[in-house]
Amino acid sequence: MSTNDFDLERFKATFFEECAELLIDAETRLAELRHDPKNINAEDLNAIFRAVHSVKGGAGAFNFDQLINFSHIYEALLDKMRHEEIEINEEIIDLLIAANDILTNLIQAAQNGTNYSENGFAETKDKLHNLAFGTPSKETNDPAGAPPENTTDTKSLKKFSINFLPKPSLLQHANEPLLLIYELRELGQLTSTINTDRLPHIQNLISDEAYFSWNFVLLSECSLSDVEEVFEFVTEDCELNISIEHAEGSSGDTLYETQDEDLSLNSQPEKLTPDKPIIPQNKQTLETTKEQAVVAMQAPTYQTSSDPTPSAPPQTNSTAASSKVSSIRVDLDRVDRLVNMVGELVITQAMLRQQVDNLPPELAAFMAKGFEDLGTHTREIQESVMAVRMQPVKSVFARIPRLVRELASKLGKKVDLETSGEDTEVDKTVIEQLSDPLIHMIRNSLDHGIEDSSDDRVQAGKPETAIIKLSAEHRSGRIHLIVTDDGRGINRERVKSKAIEKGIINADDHLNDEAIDELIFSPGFSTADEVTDISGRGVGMDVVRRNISNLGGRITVQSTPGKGTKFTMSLPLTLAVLDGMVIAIGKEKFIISLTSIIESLRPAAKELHTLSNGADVVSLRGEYIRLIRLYELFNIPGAQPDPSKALVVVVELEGGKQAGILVDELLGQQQVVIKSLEENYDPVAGISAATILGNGMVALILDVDGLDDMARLITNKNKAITPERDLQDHSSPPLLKRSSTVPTKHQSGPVGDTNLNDENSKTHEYELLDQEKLDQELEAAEQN
Amino acid sequence: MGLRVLTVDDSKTMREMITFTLEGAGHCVLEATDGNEALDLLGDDRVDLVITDVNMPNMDGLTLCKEIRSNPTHRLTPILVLTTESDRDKKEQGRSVGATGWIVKPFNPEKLLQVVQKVCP
Repeated sequence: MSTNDFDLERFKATFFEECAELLIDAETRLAELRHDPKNINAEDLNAIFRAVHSVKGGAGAFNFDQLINFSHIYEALLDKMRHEEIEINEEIIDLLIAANDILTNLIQAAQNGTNYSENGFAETKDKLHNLAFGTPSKETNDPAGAPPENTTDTKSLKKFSINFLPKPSLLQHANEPLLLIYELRELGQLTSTINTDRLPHIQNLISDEAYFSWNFVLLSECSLSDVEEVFEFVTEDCELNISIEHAEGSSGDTLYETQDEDLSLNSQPEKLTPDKPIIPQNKQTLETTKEQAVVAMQAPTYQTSSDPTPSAPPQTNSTAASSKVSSIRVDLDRVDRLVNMVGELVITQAMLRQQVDNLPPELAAFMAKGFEDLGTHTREIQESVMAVRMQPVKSVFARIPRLVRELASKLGKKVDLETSGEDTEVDKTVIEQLSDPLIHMIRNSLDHGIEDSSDDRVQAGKPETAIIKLSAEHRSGRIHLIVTDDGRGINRERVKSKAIEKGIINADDHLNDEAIDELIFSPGFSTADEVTDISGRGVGMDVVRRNISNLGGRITVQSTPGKGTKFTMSLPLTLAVLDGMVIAIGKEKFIISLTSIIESLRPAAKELHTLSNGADVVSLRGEYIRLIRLYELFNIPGAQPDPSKALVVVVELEGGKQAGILVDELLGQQQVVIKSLEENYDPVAGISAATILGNGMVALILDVDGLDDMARLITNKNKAITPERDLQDHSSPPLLKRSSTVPTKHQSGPVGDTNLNDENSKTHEYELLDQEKLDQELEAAEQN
Repeated sequence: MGLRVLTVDDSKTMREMITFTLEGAGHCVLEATDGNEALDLLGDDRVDLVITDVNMPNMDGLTLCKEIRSNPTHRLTPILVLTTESDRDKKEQGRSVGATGWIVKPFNPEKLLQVVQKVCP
């Protein structure tokens, strides 16, 4: 095995992964230190030190020079701190936090193979260096050290004369003279002379005592340091004398001389003793108490060939080792493949199940038990596999304290962060998507939620320091992330006037409080003139909402003026399976996510109304909800058009609004495996994904928000042919753009129009209520 | 014949590299993430060599050395301590608690095998 077949690259991935974990841990601990610098937990400092130390160690192996250099300085400072050589104060901890950031960036740079040169890098480094070593840093200060330089003297044949007298400690440290001799022999031609003067009579031997000494003559081209390196580990445990001669000469008094070839034989004690005279009189300063039968130099452990102990236990021991392993690292690809296969298994199982159900009853009963078990086991396998991908949200939460601290100081606000539920687990795919919206919510709370000055807070009778709470919890099969602040709450007057100004609502629109709060999620509400450094990057809450809803999640806001605001983000625990309701329309089957279904009902004819713009609504316990005619959107023949004869599935839309989807039949609840349409085909408006049903048919999973948008679009088109209504389109346009990839139905004008006209003629049968009032109410509900 | 080596390091990267190198040279490697785990793993079973990092949580490498040496079974088991070039006194400390030698980081597979050869027959 040589360095050539040793490919460091393969370990880089592990290294970077490890770095990421270490940094998160370090950051969390730094945040704790920062929180209470007076009360430092020694283990925190130690752990940060170890993290940086590990980074340095790995960086050294991969020759990431910049990283080595910086982590060395950072480490040295931490070392001083943990040995209490430096007083710990907020300033230093802030410096550590800055150092940690730089370290993160350096690792990133190393990963990208780039060089890192950010403003403030050198400055922070100098500060660290100053504290750690008392001087500013110099690039030349090489830390972990390049491998020791070999002194390059000229390659001439030299004669080394080496006196080597081991002390007992050499053996006690498990060093072995014989191995040193082997090593010397590698360097050149070796003649060794053993001095057995001190060897006592066999009765007086002590196993740990070192009785022999050696004189070596080595003819070699190597340097002195090469020879010294042989004795590197034992210099303290022996008397060693090395001299270089060029002339030939004898090496002192020798009792016994042997060519190095014979040394291997001498390694066996039995061989050693009979070969040479043991002269008890020669012994010098030895105790003669204990009786030992083993010759001193030969530690029993080393008889590898004859001693059965080292070879016997391996099996037992390696099993013991594997049972100790509490976690392994697995490539995500492998897990994904597994998840996929289990998905297929679930589908196959469902298919078989359906075929069994179609068997004659006696046969079906015969197989029922087995299938029940198969179903249970399949479900268990699926849950176990999904659990493999579950991770605590801690990794996302870890970034938040710093974010809050930085923003707070930038804004000049006093803010404390409280987190809870860090250990709540969620699928890795969701974790990855969680970070951005969460950060945005936090920024938003800090920037807009918290009062501008602590005076304002004190006047409002609140403590000076604001509190932002971040929590995660599992609730009914979803994860809820809640960001609460105790700030001023949403200023509804301002929001409303701004929404009017932006043309999102009309000046004479009547909105209730919730509806006004919801306006902050409207597209175009957050605009350039208020894009600050903080809430920044031109991303509004509408984008946050859309991103979350793309994940099958929802975000809602609750606000009490003067008391604070609470954002709740609800996400599915996984993006791989979905509990769905199978519905039938005509001959088609669709899936609606169970989490979005509120109820199903068959409305009485008197609960159905049509607005003047052609929109159908159902009156549900005094509230009007929009009716979505799926057969109309998707042009499905043979569907039941009369809601009072069909079923209405009431679904919750983003922002808590409701809509009713008109379906022919509910076929039952089923867990389905999500197959991405985008990956396998193209995005389709109104459809979030596809799945395969038990009978092998593909069924589409409905995107209820998308459907709602489509339904509005049709209504708005209808508006266009009703000249007296204003034409303003309040619905969000993105789906219209997306629908251009769909070679279907509604987007071609005439289809929609004719359908609508048909519909209108039909719906006019329904009892018409006070049209104006109805319109107004629905408009109001739709403004959000 | 392959050796049975116990490698103790809290850094996964380091453990992986050491294991890979040694296994490539035909040795059998056990891994532990800190001193406590190493002692649990070791018990009274013989290994031919222990390679340990110094800075580890729960039980550091120097304490581990001491513990290993205090068990008569492991009295003569070579122990190598991973240090950096700059840790002069680490080497001395290691020696004082019974370490056989040290491996200087940064990690270098060739050097590792050399050092192993130096302390194991």
